[in-house]
Amino acid sequence: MMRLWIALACVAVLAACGTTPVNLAYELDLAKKAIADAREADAERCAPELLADAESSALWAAHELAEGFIHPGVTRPLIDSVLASAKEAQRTAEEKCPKLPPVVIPEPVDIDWSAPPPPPPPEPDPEVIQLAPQEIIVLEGVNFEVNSTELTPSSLTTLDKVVNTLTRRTDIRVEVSAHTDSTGSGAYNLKLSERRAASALRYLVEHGVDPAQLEAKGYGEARPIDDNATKAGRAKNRRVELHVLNEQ
Amino acid sequence: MRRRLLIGVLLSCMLPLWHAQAEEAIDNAAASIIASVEGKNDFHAHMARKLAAIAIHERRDRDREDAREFINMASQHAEQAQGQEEQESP
Repeated sequence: MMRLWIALACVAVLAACGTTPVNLAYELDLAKKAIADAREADAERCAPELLADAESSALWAAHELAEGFIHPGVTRPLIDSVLASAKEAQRTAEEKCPKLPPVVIPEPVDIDWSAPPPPPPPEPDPEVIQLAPQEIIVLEGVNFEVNSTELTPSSLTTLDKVVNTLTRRTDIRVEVSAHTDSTGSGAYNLKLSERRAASALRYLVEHGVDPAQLEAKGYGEARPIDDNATKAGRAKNRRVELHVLNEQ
Repeated sequence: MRRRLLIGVLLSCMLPLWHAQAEEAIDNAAASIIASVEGKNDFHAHMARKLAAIAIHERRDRDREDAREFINMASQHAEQAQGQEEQESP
């Protein structure tokens, strides 16, 4: 029986401790933290009434606690009200005044206005053909007479540009490819294209291109680029190309 | 002896009157503060109204010391609300 009374007494003491001023003070501190969070969210500007509600209630609760727990029935509801108002103020402020990402102002760039302007990019040399790796360039104007390996005089201007290019760009290798139209047998056309490729290559070497940069190949009629049924198409198919192989 | 007793009786009769005057002063101060921030909706105006209301509540609980303290705080916030209005006007 005695043990039961002791146990009941302990329960009563513990229950009484549940609402001590110490606990209320701790809860008030938590509520003040909620007010600080609301202020951080700019509640003073965006939810002034709710924040004022929370702050005034917090002041009142602090007074009640300072009086030594005289009105316990008033203090706890006050602290609960502080917490609720502060959280509502924070939520409202975040909704009404969402924080924008900070504006990053770039560092000022010092421009030396007295310095001369940068030189303009060099204009492309009309006597040089611009070559890129793996590129295929049809040498416009390089033609042959029908069934002939002799270069026409109009072809020489284009081939001179190739000479200019390859003597300046000794770092690249090219394949000189010759093609025919479909007139005649395939075997004949293949041989003819090989001779035309060799003819173009010979011209380039004779005019100063390193033979190590060059490779000649005939494709015959196998790779037409236009219709062999028309005269204009056949003229286009009789052509010489430069295949940029790689950089040496 | 009789004179002292008479003075004591008189003083004890006057005490409720003094209390009533003090309470009336608190109510008047609260009403004045609330009137001064009427129509304002900034934080300080709201604080002034709420602290004045707490002061009246404390006065009704016969806690005049606290009531005066809340009136003082309310008055400070009312001044800040006035100051803010002056800053915002061109």
